[in-house]
Amino acid sequence: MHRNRLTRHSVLRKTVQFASLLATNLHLSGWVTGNIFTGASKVAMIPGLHCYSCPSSVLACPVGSLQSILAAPGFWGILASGRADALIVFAVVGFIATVGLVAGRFACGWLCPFGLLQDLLYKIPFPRMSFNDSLRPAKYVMLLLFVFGLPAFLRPVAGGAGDPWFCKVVCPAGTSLAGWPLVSTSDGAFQIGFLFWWKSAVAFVILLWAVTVERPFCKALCPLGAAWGVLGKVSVFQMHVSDACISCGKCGEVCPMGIEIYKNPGSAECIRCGRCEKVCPVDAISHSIRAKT
Amino acid sequence: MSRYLWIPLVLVLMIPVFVVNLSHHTVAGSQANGVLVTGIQSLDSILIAASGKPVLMNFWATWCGPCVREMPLLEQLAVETGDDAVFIAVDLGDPDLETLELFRENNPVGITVVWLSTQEAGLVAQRYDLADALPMTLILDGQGEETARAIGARSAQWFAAAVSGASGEEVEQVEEAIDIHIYVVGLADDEAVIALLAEAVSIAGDEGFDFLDPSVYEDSVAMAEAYLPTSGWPYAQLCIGGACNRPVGTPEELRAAFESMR
Repeated sequence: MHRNRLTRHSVLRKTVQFASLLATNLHLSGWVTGNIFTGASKVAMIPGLHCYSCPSSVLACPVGSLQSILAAPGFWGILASGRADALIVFAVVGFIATVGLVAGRFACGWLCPFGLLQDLLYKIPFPRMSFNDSLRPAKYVMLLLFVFGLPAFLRPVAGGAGDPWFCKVVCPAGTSLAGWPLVSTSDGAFQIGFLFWWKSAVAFVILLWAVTVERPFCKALCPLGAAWGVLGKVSVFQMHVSDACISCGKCGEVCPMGIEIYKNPGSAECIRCGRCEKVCPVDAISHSIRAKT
Repeated sequence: MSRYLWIPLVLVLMIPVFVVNLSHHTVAGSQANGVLVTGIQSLDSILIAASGKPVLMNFWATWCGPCVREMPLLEQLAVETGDDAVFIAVDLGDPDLETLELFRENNPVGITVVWLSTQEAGLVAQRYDLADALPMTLILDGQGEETARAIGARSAQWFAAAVSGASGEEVEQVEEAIDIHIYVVGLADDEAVIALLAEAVSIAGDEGFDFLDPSVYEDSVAMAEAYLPTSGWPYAQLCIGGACNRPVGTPEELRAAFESMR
């Protein structure tokens, strides 16, 4: 019975994930023309990791938007002067914070296109590898250093622009869904250089990793997941484990993030996918939209 | 140790940050030189930073004599204008950065120089609808809109009027006379040179060309003074109104260059 519940739940979650993917990628003609969509909807952000430069994307990536603003020439000066092009950083931070405070990493499990891609890659029949939990803290460094610190403070030319370093040297979503398609066009071919090959190697390794380990990028490197994980500690949406728990460990077996929720219901790693709820033989796991006292 | 596996992971991902920062953007120059940056992204960064101020964008190359001769005018005007305008010398004619660096060692350029690769230069030329001639100068207002453009070298008065916010019509009134001049470079007994000379005469007349033989000492000095390259092959360089085309090797190319610049 619980297996059926899990199957129905998986179908529902996949439907929502694909709907999110479709809603984010309505500009399908971009894949033919090689042009990036620049319409009004591009000011809005998707609650997930999805490159602004993906040919079909009609929304912006919160991580990319944040870095682009922080890397603007004279960012701190124009922020101090109260100019709108710097103040908008608060809108991006506010968006990320709101999503995290409402539901923690719920968006990772249900809405993020790159999370879906990893889920699909893990369905490829291939020998599985274990994930080393000591890699998990790297995502906090990604958030603090690559998304905030380096774009905001590293300036190759004094007074000049910084760089969106996470996008530039790490993000596999950007490489696979924007970098590779765009350099295949004649206008983008000139961008092939050291960084392209570096990012291609990083993306290739992560995508291959995702075939052997479930959601390795979410576990180890995603800065958005890091932010939402921390905010999830105090979010409205919470997971709960009741005293009925028999510590059978079945929840841990189906958890895509490899956590044992019965030991730590408030884990910052939990992406609120709900699989543990459906597989629990004694229905000890539940969620609420208001923290239990 | 295994608790800290995330540290080597982060350090590996930091490698390109160090590599890019050490190699890209700023290239060391002499004290009299302004900043030298490379790439379209750097150019765009400067343009974004200049938002609200007029921008003088001068497209040039080290082999372009008129470009090099007018550069001091731009440097002087940049000093006089101070922070009221932004001056950028965009090198889109030197395929190798080393050529530009060597040039700057001997001929310091006081304003910001942006070097573009051949492919990037093509994209920028497309973006601004540039003619295939150097120098070219674009003036953008504080909103990034083009207010004036010059194909060929201009006087200090023209540049001053252009960055002062004068209208396009007012700037055009400072336009100088346009003349045609062709440099033909090669050995005197070379048949290709003779053919280029014949075409040069038909285009510019008996007074409109200079023949320079690099094996003759005086001519080689004149070539250096005119910033003509010593290429090892015969060529002709067409200049109209101070704007010079790239060196070409055949009469047909010379005629085509003339037609494209008229």
